[in-house]
Amino acid sequence: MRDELVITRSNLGQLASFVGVGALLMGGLGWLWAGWLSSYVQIALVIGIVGVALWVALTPREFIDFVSGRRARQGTVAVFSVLLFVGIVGMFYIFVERAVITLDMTEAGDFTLSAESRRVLASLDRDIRITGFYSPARVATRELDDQFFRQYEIESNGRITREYIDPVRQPAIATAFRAQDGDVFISFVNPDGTVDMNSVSYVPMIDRQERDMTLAISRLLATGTFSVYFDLSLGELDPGDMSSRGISIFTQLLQANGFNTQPLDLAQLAATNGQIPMDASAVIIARPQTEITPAMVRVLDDYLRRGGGLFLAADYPVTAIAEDSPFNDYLWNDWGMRVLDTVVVEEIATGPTPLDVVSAIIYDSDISASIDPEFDLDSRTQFRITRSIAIDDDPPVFNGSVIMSSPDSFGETDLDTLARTNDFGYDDGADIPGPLTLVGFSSNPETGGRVVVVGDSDFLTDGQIGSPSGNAYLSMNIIGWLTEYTQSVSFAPTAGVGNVPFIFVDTATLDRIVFGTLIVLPGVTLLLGLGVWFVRRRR
Amino acid sequence: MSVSGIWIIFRREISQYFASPVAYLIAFAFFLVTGLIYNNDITVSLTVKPTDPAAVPIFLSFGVIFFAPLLTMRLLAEEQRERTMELLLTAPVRDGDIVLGKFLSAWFYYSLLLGVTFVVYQGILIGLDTYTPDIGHALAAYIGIWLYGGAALGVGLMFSATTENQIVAAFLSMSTLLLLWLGDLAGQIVASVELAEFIRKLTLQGHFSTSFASGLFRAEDAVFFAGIMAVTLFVTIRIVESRRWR
Repeated sequence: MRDELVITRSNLGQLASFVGVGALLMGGLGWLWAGWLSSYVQIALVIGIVGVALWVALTPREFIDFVSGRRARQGTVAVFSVLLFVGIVGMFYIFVERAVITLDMTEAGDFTLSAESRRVLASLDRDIRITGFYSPARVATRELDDQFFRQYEIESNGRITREYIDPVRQPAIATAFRAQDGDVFISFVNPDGTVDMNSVSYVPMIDRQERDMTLAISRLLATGTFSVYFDLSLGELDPGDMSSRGISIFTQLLQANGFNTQPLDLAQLAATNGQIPMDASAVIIARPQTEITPAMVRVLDDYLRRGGGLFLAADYPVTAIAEDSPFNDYLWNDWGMRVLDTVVVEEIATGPTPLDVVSAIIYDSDISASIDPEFDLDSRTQFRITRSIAIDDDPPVFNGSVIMSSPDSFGETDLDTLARTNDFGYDDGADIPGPLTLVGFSSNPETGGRVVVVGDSDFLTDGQIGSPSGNAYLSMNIIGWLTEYTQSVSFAPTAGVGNVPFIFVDTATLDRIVFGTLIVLPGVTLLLGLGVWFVRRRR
Repeated sequence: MSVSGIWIIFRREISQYFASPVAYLIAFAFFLVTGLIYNNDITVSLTVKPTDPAAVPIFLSFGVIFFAPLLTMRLLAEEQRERTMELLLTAPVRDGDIVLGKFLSAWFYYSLLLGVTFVVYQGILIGLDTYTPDIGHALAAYIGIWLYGGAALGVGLMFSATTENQIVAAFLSMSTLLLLWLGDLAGQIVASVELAEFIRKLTLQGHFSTSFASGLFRAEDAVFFAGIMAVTLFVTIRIVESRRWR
């Protein structure tokens, strides 16, 4: 028997009645939800009235029957009982929704703030505002993010508040934040409840909302605490130079992490018997072009004795910091390391040329954090025409190597030939066999002074700091270690979405899984079905 | 409503399911498609990304739109077309027993299929020496899709009660479920965040994709699905009941 679909006037009237009553119901619930007659509620109510009017016009008899007589009584009871029931269910839903009852069922506690985040939140002494920019197209993302932000609000006892702005409807606010759709910012809150625009900081939301947010809060709290001074009096790399030879990206990275960056005139301080400012968390000397004089050494020594941090990026050619220069002698005598008049050559080139030296031996330390080429090749560091560093085995302070070249490398000492003809080759007795130190550190536990020396400065430049990524890791880690910023702003990796291990199975196991799930399970079901069909057919 | 009445109808329906080759055919398709999704996720997990414990439930959040009406279109529409509804209505069971018994049988069948995939797929991952699956996350996603499926079956049953034509019942169910699914994308076409949020709160996906599918159990989402089930069953009972006075 064929099923025929016939649309009658009665069907249309019935449809209009459903639409009308449904829209009236939606409008009523919307009114209840919003608490006022918004334009959308009004539209729903209008649709509802039009639907009911159509119902009256198309099937007046049914409508009259509906509102009078036995059917009307029964129908009214049915409709109103349904409306009442929907209302009760809706009320219950709104009640539960506002109670915010959740259970994080993930093994790694992806939706539960870690002890580390709670530690950071416990140290809050100012109100912080999370400002998220979400257009209507991003309501799902907003909901997902809000689940995290809400926890921050709860755990901080209201110190952290959240605000969502539609960048399409409120473009002026979005422009003030330089925000795009989906961006999230944190900032301090002024006493009058407004956002302190000077403290606005972008939160990079990648895939671990908790890590991203906690780190951002830590950075915000650390803002202004750390100041890094770039010396420019020796013709060093310019932190404001945005060309590939400048170090503007490095400077921006520091600023993005809450560091104040300031210029320093070491020559003038030396000439006037001045001091490096007390607020200097670290001083950077990146590829000095002229020699560091004994007077400058005195200024630096005074600073380091006050617990300062010095980052020296020496480089080839060796004129500024020659092996026998006053500053190199100071480094050796007081810090147990010095820059050598050699250029590291990798005989078995792992970089583009034998003079591009890739990190081969990496010692575990805060300075080498995240640099693990075996896990992620891009996390290697790469130096170009690098000087090697001698580390004193019997130092006056605590010292050591961080990154070394490979055992196949050597330190070319014939720098004249290298400069004139670009020729290099290992000369037994003259050259230094590898592995050679490329990055060395020293720290004086008594004074708190710290020094890091790298035999290259190219890795800091805009052209190379991100290529490979390890160069950026190294530069930021050095500053982090020198200023002890790392101890203030850190978030230990926890297991979670981004850390869930990949499956490691052999082909045979994979084949067995495919066979079991795609052949056996559906196959057995199909056979059972065929059996049932066969039995029914025989009957 | 009485438990014994519901039980009688439930048993009758379940025996019909397992005595019909169609139910096995549906189960075959269900296992085949979910198996493909599962194997695809494992293959991708070898190199591209970590495994997604919710891969199968996330797929089903779309698949159920077509699967649920297939299970429910027959339940009441066939009774009406075969004129057996009158027999049922005169039997010593209440209208609520009929509706609830039929709904529970469909939900039981769906739960059975879902349970098999959970046990088999997660069991395989547990059995791998080199991998520890996030069972909690998977369990949350399965609970979510189980409730989601219950709500979809409720919608299907409601439309099955409105017509004696199974095709019309299935079509209306699919259209409604598709609308409830697509509502999640309302934000793409409306200009107001508040409205987009309000519409999203009425959709099935809005109560699954950002909570259960991510391993988070939210009471409001469970209440939403339970509410859809309750409302659709209540309406269905009223529709069946209306045959007595129409």
